Amino acid sequence: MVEVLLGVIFGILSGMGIGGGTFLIPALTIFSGVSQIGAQAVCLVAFIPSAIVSLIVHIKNKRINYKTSIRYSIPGCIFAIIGAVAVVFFPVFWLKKLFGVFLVAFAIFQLVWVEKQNKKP
Amino acid sequence: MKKTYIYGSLCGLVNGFFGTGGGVIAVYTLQKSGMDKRSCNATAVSIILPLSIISVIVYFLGNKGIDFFLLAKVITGGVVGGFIGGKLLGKIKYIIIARVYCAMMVVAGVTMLIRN
Repeated sequence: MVEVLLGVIFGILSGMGIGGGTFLIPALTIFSGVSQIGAQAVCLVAFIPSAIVSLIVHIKNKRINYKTSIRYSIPGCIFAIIGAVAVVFFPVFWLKKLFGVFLVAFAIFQLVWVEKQNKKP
Repeated sequence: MKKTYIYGSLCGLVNGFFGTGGGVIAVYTLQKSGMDKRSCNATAVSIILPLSIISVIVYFLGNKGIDFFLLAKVITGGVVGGFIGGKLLGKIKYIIIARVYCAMMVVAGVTMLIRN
C-alpha cells in the first residue's frame, strides 16, 4: 500500500510541475526496498501514460515546437540508449552513490532556478 | 554543433542513466533559448516521451523485466495524485513547495550517499 501512497505523492508533484521522478526513485528504494534500477524503470514507465494524455492536449493547443522537439529527440534517443545500457551494466553500489550526488546537484540547481524566477517581476 | 543537439543528447543521457531528470534539463534549456513557458513544457514532454520509451525498452531487455505489480500500484496512485496536483496548482505558493521539495531532495541524496 506504501507504493500507492508514493504514487499519489509522485502524481501530485508531477501535476504541480515540481518534479516527481527525483522523489519517486529514492522514495521507492528507501521506503519500499525496491532496487535502484527497478525504481528507475517504474519512474520511466509511470511517466508515459500521463505524458501521452498531456501531449494530446498540447497538440490540440498547438503548443509544441516540432522543429526543436525533433532536434532534441533524435540525438536524445541515441544517448538514451547509451545511458540506459550503461546503467544496466553499472555496479549497483556506485549507481546509488552517483544517484545521491545527482539528487543533491539537481535539487540545488532547481532551487536556484526557481528562486531566480521568483525574483523576476 | 547546434546547441539543441547537445541539449537533447544530455536529456537523453541523464534520463536513460538515472531514469529521471531529462525533463527538467529540457524545460530549462528551452526556456533559456527564449521559448515561452507553456510551449517549453509542452515541447519538453514531446521530447522526453520517446526518450523514456526507449530507455524502458533497454531496461526491460537488460534486466529481465519490470515489476508490473509494483508498477500498477504506483501508476494508480499517480493518477489520483495527478488529479489532486492539478487542483492544487495555483492554490499553494510554488516557491514554498519548491523549497520544501528541494530540501527533501538534498536530504534524500545525502541519505543515499551515506547509507549502505
